[in-house]
Amino acid sequence: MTNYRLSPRTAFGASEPMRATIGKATLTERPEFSIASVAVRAEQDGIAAKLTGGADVAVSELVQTDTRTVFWTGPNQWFVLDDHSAVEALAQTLKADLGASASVTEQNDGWVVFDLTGEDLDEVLERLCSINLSELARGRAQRTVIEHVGSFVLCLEQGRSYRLLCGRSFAPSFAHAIKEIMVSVNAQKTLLA
Amino acid sequence: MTQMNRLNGGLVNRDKPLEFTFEGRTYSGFEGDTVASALLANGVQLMGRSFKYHRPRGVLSAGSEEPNGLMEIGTGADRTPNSRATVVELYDGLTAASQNAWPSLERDFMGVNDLFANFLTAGFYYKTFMWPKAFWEKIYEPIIRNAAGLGALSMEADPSVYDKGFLHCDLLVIGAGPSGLMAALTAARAGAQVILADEDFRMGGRLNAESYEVGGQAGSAWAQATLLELASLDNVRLMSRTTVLGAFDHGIFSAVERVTEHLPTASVGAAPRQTLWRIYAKRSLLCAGALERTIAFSNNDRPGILQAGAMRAYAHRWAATVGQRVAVFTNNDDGHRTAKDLADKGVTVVAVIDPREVPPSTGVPVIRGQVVDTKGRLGLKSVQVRRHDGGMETLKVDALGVSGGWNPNVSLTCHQRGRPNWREDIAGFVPGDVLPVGMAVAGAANGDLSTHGALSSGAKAAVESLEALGISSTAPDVPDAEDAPVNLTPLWYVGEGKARKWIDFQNDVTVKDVKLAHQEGFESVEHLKRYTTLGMATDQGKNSNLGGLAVMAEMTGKPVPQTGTTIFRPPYTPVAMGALAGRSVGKEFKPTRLTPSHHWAVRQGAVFVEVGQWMRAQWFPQAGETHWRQSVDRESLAVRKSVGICDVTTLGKVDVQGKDAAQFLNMIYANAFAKLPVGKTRYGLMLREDGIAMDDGTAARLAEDHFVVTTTTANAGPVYRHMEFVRQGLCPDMDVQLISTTDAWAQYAVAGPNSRKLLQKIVDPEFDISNDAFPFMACGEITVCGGIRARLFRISFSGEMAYEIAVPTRYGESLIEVMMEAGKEFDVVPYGTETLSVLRIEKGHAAGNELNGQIAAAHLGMIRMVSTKKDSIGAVMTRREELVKEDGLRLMGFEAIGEDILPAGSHVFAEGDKQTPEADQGWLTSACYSPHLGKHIALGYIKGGYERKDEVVTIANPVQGKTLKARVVSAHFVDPEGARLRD
Repeated sequence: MTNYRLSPRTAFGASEPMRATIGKATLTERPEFSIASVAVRAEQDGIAAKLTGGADVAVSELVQTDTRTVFWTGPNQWFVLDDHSAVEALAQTLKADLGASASVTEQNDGWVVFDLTGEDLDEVLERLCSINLSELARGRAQRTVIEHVGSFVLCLEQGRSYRLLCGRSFAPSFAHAIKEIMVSVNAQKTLLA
Repeated sequence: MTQMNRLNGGLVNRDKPLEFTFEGRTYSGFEGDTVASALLANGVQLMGRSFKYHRPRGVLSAGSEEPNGLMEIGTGADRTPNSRATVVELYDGLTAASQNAWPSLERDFMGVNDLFANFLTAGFYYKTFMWPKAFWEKIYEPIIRNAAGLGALSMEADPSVYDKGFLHCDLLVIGAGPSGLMAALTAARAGAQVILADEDFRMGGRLNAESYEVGGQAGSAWAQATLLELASLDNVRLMSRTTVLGAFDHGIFSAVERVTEHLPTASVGAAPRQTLWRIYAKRSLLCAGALERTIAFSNNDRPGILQAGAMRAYAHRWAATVGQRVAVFTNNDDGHRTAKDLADKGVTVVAVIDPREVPPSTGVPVIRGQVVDTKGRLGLKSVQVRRHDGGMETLKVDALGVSGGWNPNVSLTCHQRGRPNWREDIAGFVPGDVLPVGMAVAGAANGDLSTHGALSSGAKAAVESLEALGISSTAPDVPDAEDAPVNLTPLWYVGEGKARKWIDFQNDVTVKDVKLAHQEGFESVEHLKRYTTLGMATDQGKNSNLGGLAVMAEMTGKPVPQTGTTIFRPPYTPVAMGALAGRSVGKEFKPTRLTPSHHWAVRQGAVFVEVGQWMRAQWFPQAGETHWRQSVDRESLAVRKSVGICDVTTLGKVDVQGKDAAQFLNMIYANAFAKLPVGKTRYGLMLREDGIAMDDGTAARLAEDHFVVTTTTANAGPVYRHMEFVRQGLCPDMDVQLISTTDAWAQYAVAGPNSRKLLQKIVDPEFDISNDAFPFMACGEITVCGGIRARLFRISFSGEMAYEIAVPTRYGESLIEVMMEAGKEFDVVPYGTETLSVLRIEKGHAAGNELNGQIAAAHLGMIRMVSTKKDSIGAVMTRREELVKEDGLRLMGFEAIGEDILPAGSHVFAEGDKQTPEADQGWLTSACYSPHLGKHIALGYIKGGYERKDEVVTIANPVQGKTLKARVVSAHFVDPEGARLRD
């Protein structure tokens, strides 16, 4: 047995998640999620319902269960977020459940999850991406580009709680861009209140 | 200084007095003033010098179309040139200065230009500064630019913060005058998502500038009440200080919001000065109003002469009169309103001069005639009037309002090449038949020039726009408002008078200039513009295009619409460059991708290089190393001698799964993959459809239905896109799924004769990675460091025994720390991209430099890899005769003869040949110093490659002025048999 041991680091090279509160908005890195992508194989259906335990996950939708968030990422393709206890096993578990009906890929460290919470968050998001926020209600998930970075925006509660995902290597730039906007929005609100 | 020209009433806040400076003198104003209104209230008419002749000028307008009142606002790096005083909101401590004047606004030495006006007519510099040719760029142009001009940049970085964002709506209403307010109200009450944008800081448009009542109350009060209702609705976004700059495809508009420009800079902090919005509107309604045009007559540009409607606006909204004794020159009924309103405000109105036969109706004397000249160097002192009966009259006045009629503001309707239509009754252009998609026009912008017309057409247009979206709405009751008809007899310029008659104030273009353009053959409107500069600069011809067109029409004998039409392009008004850039500054313009070992590499003092968006360690300097070559030579030798580690996470990784995964790889790679056993990796050559090499990499088979494809760093995105295109477009029947996993795995190359020994210290003992169990090109899923999942690939880019090991990225930084610790006994080194390159050149491996979009399989010496037993993309095309001919280009090695560096990019010639394109034999693609061989080497292409081995060739680099000698050798400088790989 080797004596060497590895320790996990966040996308920011830290041992603790990044968290920033500016005004009434808070951006929090959520490294504790396990992530896997699931794509339907030929002539299969009902895969999304198997992931959620019943509910289908249609185009641009997300479904939350007790432990999972399942959201649509493309035709016949979804991402599954699960809690930390599944981090090493999520992809294998899903593969075991779905067998040859779907292709499952581990994405634990491919993507970084951020939660953006607070008040009047539309003011932040409308400066980040071109999504029509009036249509991004609770339960909607949208692929978009934020500051040249491919990303997902999930609405957990309109105006108050969003989950954002970006590729891990982009995370510092991505978070920097969001924080810059949080600063800008807060400064405007404070100044013009 | 007292505000001698401040009237009673108005919409300024007298409870909030403000102080500001102009030309170093302190003035006072009120909240709600613009710089122009405050200066006028203080009796200041002279606000600038003209572009070319440095003529003294005052404001012409009260809006964003202002051509004269251009100033520099702020100081130092915050200074903003070409600010229009008519729209700059006053704040306490504001500093304004004139521009284009020296040493002072009153005594501008460059005013001497005016004395030479006869020599400086339209196009004078085209005729005058032709010889000698070389003088143009270095002498003539700098002199001209210095003499003529607008404001000057501070030459310092703009310290302001800018922002950008995206908005969506059902209906975008552009302009918050009577038509815009009614439209917004209609749509808002119907529940539609509405954006109401107006460039002014106070919404209401002309309702704030008139004396009319709307619905039994002051127009401005009705506007405020309507705005209050709109503000109370969640589905409405009111955007004042927001100029819609352009109408683009698919209902997309750009708009700039001046967020904090109305505040002292020091108080703004991190808030943006301006925000550039991209607005996605399902429908848009242009309610941009109309702009008053003037009449050209001799010396019509003196300070104190301005649009009659602007004079009225200053009096009503800003409680400021332009002068104490005023007159109005008009060809339409609207000019008479100005006279009446000013008289009602207590201003002495000497007369209305009207060429038409109009009976006095306002209590102000009417002179039937025309203004033929004016006097007053720095401000108007008198006007000369030629009466209809032939008599001449001089009126002592210090201000003159001029009204030539109103031009519907059609600018945004033209942004996609729409051409406006001529309407005879108003002698002006109205929006044409082809508008930007989804756009409608209402109110004065559409030629409905009465208040009632604007209110009712705004409501009607909103109902129609919403109907197209399937939203039913009801137009609110239209409040009572004036509905006077337009009575106008066109008058573009006064014939009498020898002095210059200005059409374009901003560019100093006169009636005579237009006539000269015609005389010299520049009759087309576009030629007229470029020859005379009419319609250029910050006002973009809003005040002058039609006047110029009308004079040209007279010269050509054609009606105005047959002479030409005006065209407008974005942006509607000038935009700060910072707003276009948005919030990004410095390195923020593109994202930076960090490797898993980035923070560790920073701690080691690595030198980084940008590779696409990635930051990669280029080399790791050690103590005492003063030149990059020392570091790279050391790293290269260490790898070949023992072991080195390089972060190769940046290579693209595409997860390929599905029943037909192997068949899919057979399609995208030129060589065969179907029979690759599980647990094995294979090098693959990917061709474009035309047979040219696209990328190369490896594919590892992790299961029967599961591969991991690696790509080069630079091509990770394009190759993934290509693979998706093949999957979806060319092979839709294949059962295959793709997804990128580039970021999911931290991957390191561990290379060198001791690489296995190092890895054996961290790989969990149940996994046998001995040469027998894990030979060259093996791959497998293993665990390291007590159970951490990992992938191990026995592949080599360096030519040494080497592995690539991947762990979930969260363990990436820790893994290199552990490997460096475990490798101490082998003197392990980290190496960067430079050493990576040296090692692969020594081994003869192609990379981006070799795959340059011109190279086919045969050129790389890989034609035999292109399988003839299966179909694959590019396989047929890469066998084209020209691409496979024996004497064609082949990848070879080159050894320098002598100590000189072989510069990559140099071209290859046979010894003794002339260095001409016809004699070109190839070129060097990659070059380095090989510390292993102790000489400079290169890879490159040479015609007839293998046949020329050992030939001495000329290496020509005219860019560096070098001609060298090199020997053609095998591309495989190190271990050509590949024994080291397989140890």
